[in-house]
Amino acid sequence: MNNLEELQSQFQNYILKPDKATMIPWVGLGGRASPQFQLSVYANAYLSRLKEVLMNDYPALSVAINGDLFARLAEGFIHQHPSHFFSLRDYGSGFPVYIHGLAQSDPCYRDLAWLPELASFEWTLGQAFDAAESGLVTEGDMASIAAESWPLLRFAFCPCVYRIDLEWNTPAMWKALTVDPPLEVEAIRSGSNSAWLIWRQELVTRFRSLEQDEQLFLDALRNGETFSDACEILAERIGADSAPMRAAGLLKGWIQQGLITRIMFSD
Amino acid sequence: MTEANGKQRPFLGYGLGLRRQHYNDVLDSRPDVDWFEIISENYMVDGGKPLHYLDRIRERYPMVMHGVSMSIGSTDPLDYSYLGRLKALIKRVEPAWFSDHLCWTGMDQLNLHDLLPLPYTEEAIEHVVDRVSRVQDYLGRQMLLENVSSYVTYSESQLAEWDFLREVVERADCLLLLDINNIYVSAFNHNFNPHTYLDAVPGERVYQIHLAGHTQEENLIIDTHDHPIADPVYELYAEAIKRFGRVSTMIERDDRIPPLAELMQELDRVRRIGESGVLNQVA
Repeated sequence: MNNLEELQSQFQNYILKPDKATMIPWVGLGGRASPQFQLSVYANAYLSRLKEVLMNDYPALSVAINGDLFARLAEGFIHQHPSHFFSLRDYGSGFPVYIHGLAQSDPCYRDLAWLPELASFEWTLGQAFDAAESGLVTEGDMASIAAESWPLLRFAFCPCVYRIDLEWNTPAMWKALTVDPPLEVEAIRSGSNSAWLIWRQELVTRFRSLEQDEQLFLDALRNGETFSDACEILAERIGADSAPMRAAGLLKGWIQQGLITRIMFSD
Repeated sequence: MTEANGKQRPFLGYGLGLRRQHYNDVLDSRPDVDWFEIISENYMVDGGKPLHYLDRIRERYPMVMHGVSMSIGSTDPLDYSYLGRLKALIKRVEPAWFSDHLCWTGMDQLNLHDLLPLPYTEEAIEHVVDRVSRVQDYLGRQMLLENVSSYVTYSESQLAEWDFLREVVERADCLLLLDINNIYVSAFNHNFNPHTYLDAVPGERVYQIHLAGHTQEENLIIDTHDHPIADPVYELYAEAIKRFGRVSTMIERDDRIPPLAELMQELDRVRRIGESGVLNQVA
């Protein structure tokens, strides 16, 4: 290890674990402040910068639990997960999994079983916010498709479209916690998973719940099923007579909401 | 002012750092800002609002790009995935130039998201010069390096910061983004005369100047970018203009971001100093 590498290693170790540093002879003595104080500026800035990133990425979560608990949660994550990212935008990606692990193992979080789901929801909103742009299919495009092509059509959805399952009243909690000032809200477990859609329409991030038949049809098409096969899945749920009309209505709605980027014809 | 090779140094005028809080105001009110600087990493995303506003504002204003994660002084290998994204963004924005800091931000594939100073040694000079050359070759253009503010020095340093800076930019044949506030902050923290620093700077390489506010503590100034520019920094800026002539100058504000109109008032003061320096030179 050369001198530069050794110095950088010592400096980085100090920032990551300031409590463990005892000797810092590599710091010059010419400054107004003591070497310990000078170095502490970097260690404090590191922690406060990453905490601020987590607060910005998880605004509802940081309001939902008291400040001390959020600070403890954030500091625990920061200590275990130094950043490997060139952009702070990505730093908080592992926070929901970290919270999920704590909720399973740490008694402090026993009464906060909804916390991992709220974290995942907030991260997914952020993912939709700056997902890649894509061209959109229009109702005109659909109208021009020959009837015989329809059974084998496949649909590509925009990169900003996310489908998640929620066990708690997380969207309602998120809304209540992110208004100014935040509203009181109680976490309620529904007893079964409900399907939700998160996406970005033009520049606005949106979310809404999905009826069970819409969820089945959407999941089938997003998994690459043909229109015909997806309609069969829909028919099993709502009956063969209703399925074609319902399928057409759902597709029309998705196009209006800006969810579909491409129609793929069979070879 | 001309470069060493006789080429005229480009002058963009007086600019601001583009911040998301001002996107709509910039588009609606078309403020009298000559150019904007963007933080490159904020636009290394796939889509959405940041790129939407970037493209629209770029249509109306000249831009330069300023990065915070190149880590040119790190002993880790250069991150070509990062440089690839930077190259793509340069192609999209077509900036007048791009810059990053003369610092390191982490090692062992970690990013501490801070601009950490280097020891002022021959070893560090050779290391950085080689990396700047490789970055400039990869991106096919010269880069600007910015002097950072610092709170520590290394007992191993053999040179003054200004000698280190001059050696790096001259040997690597790159350009300079001179942060006047950073000189002021480091001069206070490490007990040196900021005018000595300015005297040593190779003026023909200074393509851009940064101005910003800081936080004064008892024995330390912290480079927080959350206050208006302090009076002594304006005075040091005037000294810089006397030495280097008219240089593209902008205000960086990253926290407690005020309304655009407030920053425009600050920019007026900057503009007056920047232009009076030229009048003094002519006289």
